[in-house]
Amino acid sequence: MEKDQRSKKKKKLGSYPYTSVIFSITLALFVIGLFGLLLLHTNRLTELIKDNIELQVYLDKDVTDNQRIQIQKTLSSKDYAAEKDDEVQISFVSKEDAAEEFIKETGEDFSSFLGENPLRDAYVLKIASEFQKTEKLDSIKQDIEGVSGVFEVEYEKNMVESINENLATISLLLIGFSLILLIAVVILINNTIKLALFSQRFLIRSMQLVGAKSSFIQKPFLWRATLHGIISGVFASALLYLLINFAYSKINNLQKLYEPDKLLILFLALFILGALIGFMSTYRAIKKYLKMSLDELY
Amino acid sequence: MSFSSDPVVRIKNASIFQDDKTVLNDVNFEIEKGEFVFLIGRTGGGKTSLLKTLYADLDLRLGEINVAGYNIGNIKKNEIPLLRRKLGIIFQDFQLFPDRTVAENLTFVMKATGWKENSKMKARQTEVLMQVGLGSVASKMPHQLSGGEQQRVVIARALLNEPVILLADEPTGNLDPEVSQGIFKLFQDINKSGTAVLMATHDHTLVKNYPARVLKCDGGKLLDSKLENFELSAKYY
Repeated sequence: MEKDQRSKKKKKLGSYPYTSVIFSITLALFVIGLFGLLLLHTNRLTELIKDNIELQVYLDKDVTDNQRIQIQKTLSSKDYAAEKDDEVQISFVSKEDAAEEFIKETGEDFSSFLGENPLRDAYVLKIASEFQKTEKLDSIKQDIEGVSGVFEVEYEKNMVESINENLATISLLLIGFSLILLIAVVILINNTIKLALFSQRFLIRSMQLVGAKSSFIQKPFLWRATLHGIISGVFASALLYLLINFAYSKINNLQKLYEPDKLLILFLALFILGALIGFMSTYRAIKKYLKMSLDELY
Repeated sequence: MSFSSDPVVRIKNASIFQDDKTVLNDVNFEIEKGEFVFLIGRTGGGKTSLLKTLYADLDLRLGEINVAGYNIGNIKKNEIPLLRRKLGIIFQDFQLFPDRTVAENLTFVMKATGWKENSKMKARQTEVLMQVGLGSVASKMPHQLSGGEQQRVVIARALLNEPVILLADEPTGNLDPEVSQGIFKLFQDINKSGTAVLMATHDHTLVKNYPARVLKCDGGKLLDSKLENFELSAKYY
């Protein structure tokens, strides 16, 4: 019984607002992790999109098969044609195929009221990633439209760029938010350490009187803060993992952007970052307050 | 030890400050290895400030002080712990922790001063407790001990790191005369085994009954019985 009370008392002596510290670091790490997740997913998304940027090259209605093959050869020889395993990524879509596809998608059989197929034969040409800037795509479009037998060139404009623009805005927002949270963490830890040192000032004073080095006095605080940082990292990672699984279940096709390796690296980075945040801000605070005589802490 | 023949404490032309005013001017004295010295003077006369300056708790702003081989005037922050390990500090504001046993109190100090091996720590604890005449209190809590016993444990704690000098501020302050005599005898025994003692005290019967060198803080000056004669208690009674 007596022993019980004693151990309780000892714990009290080192009282320290664990929960609020861990909660704040977790929150900061969560936002940073959110930012990391966003970067990972958009990165993967742009990669996928870049692999699939293609030009639709519509041909004149009266091209002969010879001309058509000639056009294919010309397109294949261009250096902006994307290659995969030494094969140019070009495919031919006849107007019949296109019509079939269209009817399948819309459920509307236009030939019944138009009488004829208004669509054109087309080549779909994938573009190498180094030519995917808007200006370059424009000049490529003009280049191809100059080939005889080509009616029109179309491409999805600005898809990648609009992604990148939006990403920049959201990133800025998230970075700003996590910065604010980080500052809050530093201030909180600062006050926490101040209180902890104050509540243990007799202990620390005694340590100083018998000749304990300051590293000895700091060690338990630093160790604890580092541990809390890591715990916060684990919490933040768990939250992010739940969030991402929720998002995958709610948003179709998002799972395609899932990269387990990189996610693991992100989580590891959060652990390390948490440990660093805990360690650095505690180190800063403890340096500041140990320099003062402990009576000044009042 | 490299400074074995040097005095343990050497003070030259030092001024002792308390906050921003000087309490002692032009202090000069030396304490040899193994010497026993009383420090007397009225409250607020600068006894405690002088002791605090000796273990680098108060800044030395004027003069030169050398303690246990360390120059206090320009001691580096990271040398202060090493200095204090050479001193035994027995102070009013440095009591035992009430929330742990005697052994835990001692272990705490030893861990803080770089002891690593448990068996060595145990052995040294038994040694110092025997030295202060307390054989079987290691597992007791401080509140289970009498005032005199507690003070003996405090002295044992100061002896752990084999100090070259004990700095004691009113070590018999709250004890009845009989117990104080016992504590004082303990200091004498420790002194006989070669440790210098600088003891600040109000207890004039002690000073009268056990003649030793006396330093007296008097009106901003430090008088030394080695150099001049003075009334011990002229201003008290």
